Amino acid sequence: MRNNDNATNAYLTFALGAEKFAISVNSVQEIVELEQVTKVPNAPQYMLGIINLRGKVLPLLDTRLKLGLSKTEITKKSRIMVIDLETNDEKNVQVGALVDVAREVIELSPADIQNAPDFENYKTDTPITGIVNSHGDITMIMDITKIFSTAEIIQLNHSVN
Amino acid sequence: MDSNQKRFVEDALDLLNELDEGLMQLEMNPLATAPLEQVFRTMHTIKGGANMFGFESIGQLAHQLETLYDLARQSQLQISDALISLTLHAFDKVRDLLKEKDVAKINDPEALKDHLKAAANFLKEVEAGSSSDLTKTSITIHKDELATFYLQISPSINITEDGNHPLVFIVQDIAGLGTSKVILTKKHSGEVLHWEVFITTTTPQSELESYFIFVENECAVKYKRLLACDLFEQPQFVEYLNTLGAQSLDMAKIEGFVALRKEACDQQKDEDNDESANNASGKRTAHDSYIKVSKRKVDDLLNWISELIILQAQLTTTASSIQSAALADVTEQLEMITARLRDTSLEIGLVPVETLVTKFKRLVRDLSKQLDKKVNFISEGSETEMDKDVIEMMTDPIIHIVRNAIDHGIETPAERRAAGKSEHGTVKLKAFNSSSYINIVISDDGKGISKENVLRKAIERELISAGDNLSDEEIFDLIFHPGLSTASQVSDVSGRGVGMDVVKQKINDLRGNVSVKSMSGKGTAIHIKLPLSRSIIEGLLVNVADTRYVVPLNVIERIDRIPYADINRENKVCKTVVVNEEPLTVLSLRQQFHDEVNPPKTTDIISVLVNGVKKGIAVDKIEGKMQTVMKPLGDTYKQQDFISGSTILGNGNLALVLDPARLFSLTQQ
Amino acid sequence: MKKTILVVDDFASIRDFVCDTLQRKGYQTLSAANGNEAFKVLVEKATEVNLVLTDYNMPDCTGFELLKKIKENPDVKKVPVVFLTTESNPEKMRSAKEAGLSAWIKKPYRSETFFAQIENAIDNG
Repeated sequence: MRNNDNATNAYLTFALGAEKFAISVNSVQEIVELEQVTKVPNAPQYMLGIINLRGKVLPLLDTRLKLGLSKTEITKKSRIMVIDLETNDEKNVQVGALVDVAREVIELSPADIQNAPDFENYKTDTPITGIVNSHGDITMIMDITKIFSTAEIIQLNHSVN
Repeated sequence: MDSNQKRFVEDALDLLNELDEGLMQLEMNPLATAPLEQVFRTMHTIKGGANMFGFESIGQLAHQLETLYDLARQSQLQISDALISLTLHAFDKVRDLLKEKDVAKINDPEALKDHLKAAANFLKEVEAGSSSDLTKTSITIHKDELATFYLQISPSINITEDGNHPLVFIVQDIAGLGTSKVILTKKHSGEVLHWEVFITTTTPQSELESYFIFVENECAVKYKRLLACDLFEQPQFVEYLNTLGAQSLDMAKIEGFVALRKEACDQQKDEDNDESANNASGKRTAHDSYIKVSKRKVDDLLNWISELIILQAQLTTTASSIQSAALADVTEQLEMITARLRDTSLEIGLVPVETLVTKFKRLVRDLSKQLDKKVNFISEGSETEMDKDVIEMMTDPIIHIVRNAIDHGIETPAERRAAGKSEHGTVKLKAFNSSSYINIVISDDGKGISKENVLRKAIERELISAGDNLSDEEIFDLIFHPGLSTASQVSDVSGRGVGMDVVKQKINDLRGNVSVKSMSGKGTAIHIKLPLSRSIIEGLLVNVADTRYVVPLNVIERIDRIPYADINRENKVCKTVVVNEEPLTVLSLRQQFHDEVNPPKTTDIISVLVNGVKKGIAVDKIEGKMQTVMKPLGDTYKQQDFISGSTILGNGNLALVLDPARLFSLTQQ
Repeated sequence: MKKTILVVDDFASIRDFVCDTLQRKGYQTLSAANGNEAFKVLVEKATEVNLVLTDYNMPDCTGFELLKKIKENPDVKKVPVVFLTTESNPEKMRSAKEAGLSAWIKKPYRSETFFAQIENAIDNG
């Protein structure tokens, strides 16, 4: 038991507005800067369009909008996290998630993480799996695959149209 | 189902196609030997595989039918329509079964019960009939002859009876060829001195001898053909063998039994038993120069080639901004090679249309029998190649078209005679290439499509109004409208959910098009055009606001330029504009999807054919024609189906590929 | 040391099945879908292959032609070749023997016969 508590996992931290978040690096392939986005018309607002990542075409989603926050203001610091999503038929799907600022990778052990109280601001089904409280500085651990599950996106998409 | 079984199912489905081909040839020419051999060989292979991979009921059925065709090869049975039909039906059922995912379902003995019975009955009739059938054509009869042999096998090396030397197993295998008795004599040291085998079998001596060819250096074999019938029917012989114990054989006594048995044996047999091989050795029919490669590997290869093409385009663009002769040189060569690669890759995924053709021959045959019509099926250009997936997708639609041709197009023999035509109607499937498209034309010489009927039905269903003036082309195009399906006599046709509207939809999905020509009393021709490659598309690159789109070339009729003001009225998105002196419904991409701030002075109108109707798409500017690799957008954008995919331009930017038909159905609320 | 057998048959299902059967008995296998491919593989891995097990009837290059190719090539002619086939024509068997074939296994086969023939061919060439 003691050994498990000390084993650490790597998390990537980023910010949406003033809030800090962390997600497991296992889901993140890389971080890239925002270049050209080609908007695909008639799609929900949080689907910003498609981007060209070294020859691969990925959908770009606005993380803030998807979580029910206000739209992301694009700045020089804006970054795209390339997320690996697994779908039901084992096809590897990737999406780009736009965030305000991408920060560093930190190591956290289960001991560092506390349970998440309920949050009202966030639309999606409790994507927050825990919080890290570092002297009052709060970082929320997020399950990114829950926020961007393809099935859900397809369903939402369907109802919008 | 394990992977071996899956592989077998794939192979078997191919074989069943070949089988159909052979059976139909045999039907037309019952005395031909080549198709008979091929049919027999194919059934034999199917039987072998089915038994090996656990599909016993199929193996059993194949065996029954193989026996019948074997009799035919030996001229003891004449190929008849009844036999062919029986066989076709049986293997149709096998084909259906093999498409099941569940092995238990495939092996369900109930499924093939009727066909097995039919085959067994047929065999019985043949056997009953053959004994009284004296009117055979004078082809030499090859019957397997029964004979009893004595073999003495003496190893020249040390072998023990339970050892692992092949000889031990060879002796066992020979003993398994019929009724037999093996007498083993050992040396004092315990090793084998010799085996003596009495075997009654139809296997000829030469074949028995062949068992030892590869162990010749390790043994000496003596053969004696005792007599041309079963010595084991002689009770004294059997008793003698049973009571032999440790004594050695007394050949004189054996001779005595042979003499006795010979007397009791009435039949005349040939002395010479040189049987030529029954399993014809020739190369497999057709497909001689093909190698089987997994489709997944081919798809992977083609994907990588697509990536390479995209990168090469980007390299060209980047290199042009760098002043370096050396770089320009290499880039140019790379461009040449990539173009070659692209052309070759287009060809790799292609297979000849032939597989489709065999299915149609069957269909025509079955349907014409069912409907009492006489129909000839001709195919032209079946060596023309098409993407394998596209063939599969087009199979049902084309089957539907052929069904229609026979059902509604071709008249009954009486009607045809009355019309001064030959009794036999003709349905023709013609395939050919033109630029980067493949064309398939299905034509018939039947009574053609009645324009009046179509118009009447269309007015009834309120698709058009009585006063509308339609060109012939537009009238025939109406048959693709979902509201206008014509019922069919043949009950099993409609069950499949394929109507002419679905046919058109599938063709549109593949970015192809279809047109109909028909003349009353003379016939109908349906012309399908499909792009050769599904991921490489030809289209016009256009600009709308700051987005680029690609409009596929296959539906484009013409392009015009008009003042933007002409479409900037009434704030409606879809409007009628006069273009080229004709009214045209125009959809403005800018007004539909983009900001209308700072509109251009002029707008380019691309006239496209959507569901047989001409419509216009307004864009800011047409940049030029291009051929490019298209990538699908993925599941996330499934809902936005008016965009078929995206393509990477030379400068790394993305362009959206439009699906005009879906674009217009989007705005039709 | 594990023995390696090169299995040649133009039917994927049979090829895989035979490889499977051999592997279960402890052999390592290589496979090829036709005679030309098989010869290439054999030449590349001449020192590793202990036996070539091939079908007789194949398009492009029959088992017999493959046999001749192998026996005429000094680098690989020592590798024993065995046919696994439904063919049973004694004349063909005789010709094959004269061309250097080590054993001829008829289909359908019993597994004891199959393995006995193969082991014998590997050991004695």
